[in-house]
Amino acid sequence: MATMFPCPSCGGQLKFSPTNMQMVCNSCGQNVSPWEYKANNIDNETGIDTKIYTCPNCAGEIQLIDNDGMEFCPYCGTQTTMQEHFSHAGTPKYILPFFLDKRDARDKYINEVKNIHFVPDGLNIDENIDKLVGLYTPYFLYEYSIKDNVSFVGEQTTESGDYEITKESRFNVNLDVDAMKVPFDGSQTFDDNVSGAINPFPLKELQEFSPNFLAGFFVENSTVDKEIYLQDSLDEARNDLTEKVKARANGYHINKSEDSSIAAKIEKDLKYQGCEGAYLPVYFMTTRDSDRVAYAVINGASGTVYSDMPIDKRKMYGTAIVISIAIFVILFLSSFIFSFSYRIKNLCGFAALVSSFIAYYGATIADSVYRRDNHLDDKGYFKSNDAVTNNKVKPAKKKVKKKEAKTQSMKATLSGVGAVVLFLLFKGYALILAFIFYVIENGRTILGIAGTILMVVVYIASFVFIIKGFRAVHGGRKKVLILGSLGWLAALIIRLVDLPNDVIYYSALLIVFGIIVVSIDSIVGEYNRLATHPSPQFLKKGGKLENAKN
Amino acid sequence: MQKIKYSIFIFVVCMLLPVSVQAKSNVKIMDEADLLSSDEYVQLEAYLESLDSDYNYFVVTTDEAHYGKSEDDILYSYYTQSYLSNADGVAFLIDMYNRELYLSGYGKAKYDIKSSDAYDITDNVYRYASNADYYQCIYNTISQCNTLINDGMILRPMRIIITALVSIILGFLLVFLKAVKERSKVQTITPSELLLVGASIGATSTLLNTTRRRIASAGSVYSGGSSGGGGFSGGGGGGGGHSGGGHRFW
Repeated sequence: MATMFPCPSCGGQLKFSPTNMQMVCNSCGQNVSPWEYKANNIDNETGIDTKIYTCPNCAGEIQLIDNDGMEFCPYCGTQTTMQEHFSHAGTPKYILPFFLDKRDARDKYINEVKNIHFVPDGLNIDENIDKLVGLYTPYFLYEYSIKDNVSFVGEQTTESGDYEITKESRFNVNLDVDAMKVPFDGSQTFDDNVSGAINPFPLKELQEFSPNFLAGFFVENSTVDKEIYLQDSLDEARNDLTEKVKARANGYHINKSEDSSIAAKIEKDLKYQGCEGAYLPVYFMTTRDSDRVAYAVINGASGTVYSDMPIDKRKMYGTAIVISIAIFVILFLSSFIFSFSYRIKNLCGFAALVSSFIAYYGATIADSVYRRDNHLDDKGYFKSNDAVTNNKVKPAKKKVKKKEAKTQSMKATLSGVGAVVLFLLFKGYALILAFIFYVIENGRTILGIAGTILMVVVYIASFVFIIKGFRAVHGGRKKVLILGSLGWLAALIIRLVDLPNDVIYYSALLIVFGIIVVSIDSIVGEYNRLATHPSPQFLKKGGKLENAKN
Repeated sequence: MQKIKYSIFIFVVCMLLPVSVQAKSNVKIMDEADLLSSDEYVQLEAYLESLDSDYNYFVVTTDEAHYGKSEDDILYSYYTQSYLSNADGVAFLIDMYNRELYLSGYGKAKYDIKSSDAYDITDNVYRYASNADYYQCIYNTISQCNTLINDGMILRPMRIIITALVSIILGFLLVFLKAVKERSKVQTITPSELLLVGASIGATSTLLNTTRRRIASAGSVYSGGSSGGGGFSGGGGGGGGHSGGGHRFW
C-alpha cells in the first residue's frame, strides 16, 4: 500500500519522531521538517483522509493516518482484526506534538509504578508495556478574554515585640487578557477523571494543525458536543483568574466575602470567544482482566502517568501475614515492657471501630465504583448536554469545588462530640488514635474515668462511621457495608451482653474478627473493581471536533 | 525453799495453759464467705507458710456488699487492717457478692506482680471459681504469684490470643491502606494548565489603616497544672502504691 507520507528522497514511509521533532524515513533515515513537508493531498479545507478502524467487540473507533493496521483494540484490549473503512474526517485547529517517544513513555510508566506493591502478574511485564499506543486525543479549547479592574481589601497581621500589628490595604488589580484557553477532553473514551490525572499539558507548545505530526500515530475521533463543558470551562477560567488576582495581595489574608466578590466580578466580565479543537498526545495501554479493563495513560508531552492498578490479593495477603507476625511480636513484647494487658471488653470497642471503618471506607469505594461504571463524573461519555441532564451527570470534581464541599460539611457538623469524631474521621487517624487510647486505657496509666471517656469516643466514632457509610454508599454495591455493619453490631451486642465467661466471649469475638477478615477481603475486591473499568461499549459516529471550528 | 516452790508453781501453771499453734505472721486467710472447708483451710495455710517469708500472703473471701467501693478499695481496706499499706505482700480477694476475683501486689510485690500480671493470673484461674473450686482458685493464684516473685514465667493464653487477633486485623488493614495510598499517586487529579495569550495583570495597593494591639508576653500567661498520683498502677481508686487486676466469674 502506498504511504500517505512518502519520503522525498526514496519514497519510503515517513514517521514523526518526538526525539528530534522531525519526520524520519523508515527506509533511508532522512529527516524532514514537519513544518515544511507537504503530503500527497491527504488534507484539504474540509478535512483529512483517514482510515477508520472499528472494534467489533466494543464499537470503539480509531483513526489510522498512515499505519499498518491494528491487531488489538486499544479501548477494550481485545485481540481482534479491527474493521477498516475510509473516511474524510474534520481536523482541529491545533495540535500538540508528542515530545516523548514510546521508550520515554515506557520509562516514565515504569518509574512511576516500580514502587507499587502487589501488582497483578502480567500487568508490568515488557510484552504488556510494549502495547503502549501513541494516540492523539481530541480536546476542546474554550477561549475567554477579559479587561477588568478588580478591587478588594486584604488584611495582614504581624507581631512586633509585645504588639500585634494589623494592616488593612485595598488592592486594585488590572486584568487584561486577550485570550485564555481552557482545555477539556472531547473524547468519549477518556473518563474525565483519567484525563484530569494526566494534566497538565504544556499548551504553550501548541502548533497549528498539520497532518505531518500524525504520521505514525493513532487518532481518536471526537464524538462529543462542545457545549458540554462550556459551564465547566467558565468555572475553571474564573477560578484560575481569581487565584491569579488574589496572588497579587502579597500574602494579605482575603476573607470569604471578598473572595466571593472577586470571583463574581471576574465571572461577570469574562467574555466567551468561542471554542477551538486540538489534538493532544497520550500513550495508551489497555490490559484485560476478565470482564474489566485496566488503563494506563501517559501524557505524551509532559510524561504525567495515570494507571489503574488492581491489588493482587495473594501477594497482599502474604505480606499481611508477615506484617501481622511482626505486629504480634511488637505488641506482645510491649505488653511486658510497658506492663499493659488487653481487656476483652475493650477488644469489643476495637472490633466495633475497625468494622465500622471498613463499612464506611468500603461504602465510599463502592459509591466511586458505581459512579465510575455509570460515568456519572464523565460528561464526555454522554456526548451531549441533553444526555448529561437526563442522566443527572454531575461535573467532574475540581480541586476548588472539593475544598468548598469540605468546608460546608465541616460547618454542618462542627458541634459537640461531632467535632471530635469528625476530626478523627477526616484526619484518617481514627484507627491509630483509638488503638493508642486502647493501649493507654489498658495500661492503667491514666485514671479509669479518662479511659472510659476514650472508649465512649471510640464507640461514638464507630457509630458515626456506620451512619456515614450508609449515607455514602448511594447506588454502589453494599456487600462491604453490610459485612462491616454486621461486625460492628456483633461487637456492640457482645459488649452490651457483658458475658463473664471468657470462652463464650472469645468465641463470639472470634466470629466478629472472622467477619472483619472477610470484610477486608471484600474491600480489596471492591477496590479492584475501582481500579479497573467495565469493558467499554461505544456507539460512535465520529467527526465532531471539526464543529469546534468557529 | 520459797524459790523452789515458786518455780514449781510457775511450771505447773505453764503446763496447764492451753497450747495454741499460731500461723506465721506473714500469712493470713480471712474466709468470711466460708468458701473453704477446714481441711482446705489448713492445707492452704500450710502452703502459704511454705512460700517466701519476705512477703505477706493475704487471702480474703467475702459475701458482703461494699457499696461504693471498687474491688481494689475492698482488698486494700482488708489488707491494711492486717498490714501496713507499703508492706511487701500479695493479696487475693474472692468477692462472692459481686462475683469477682481481684489480685493486688503491695510494696515491692507490685513490681513482681504488675496490674497486667494480675489480670493474666485472674484470667487463668477464674474457671475454678466458676466451678466453685475455691481452694484450687486460691492455690493456683498464689502459686502463679510465687512463680512471678521468683522470676519465673506463667502461661498467658488470653494475652496471646487477643494480641494475635489484634495483630491480624491491624496487619491486614495497614497493608491494604498502604497499597491504596501507593496507588493514589498515579491517580491524583491535578488542575489543567490554562493558556494565557496577551495577558497583563498589574496591581496597586493602598494602605487603609493600621492597628496595634498589645499582646501578653509569653511569661505573663501561664496555665497551672499539677502532678501526682505516682506509683499507682492498680485498677480504680483506693490507696496508692500497689498493683491490681481482676476477673468476673459466674
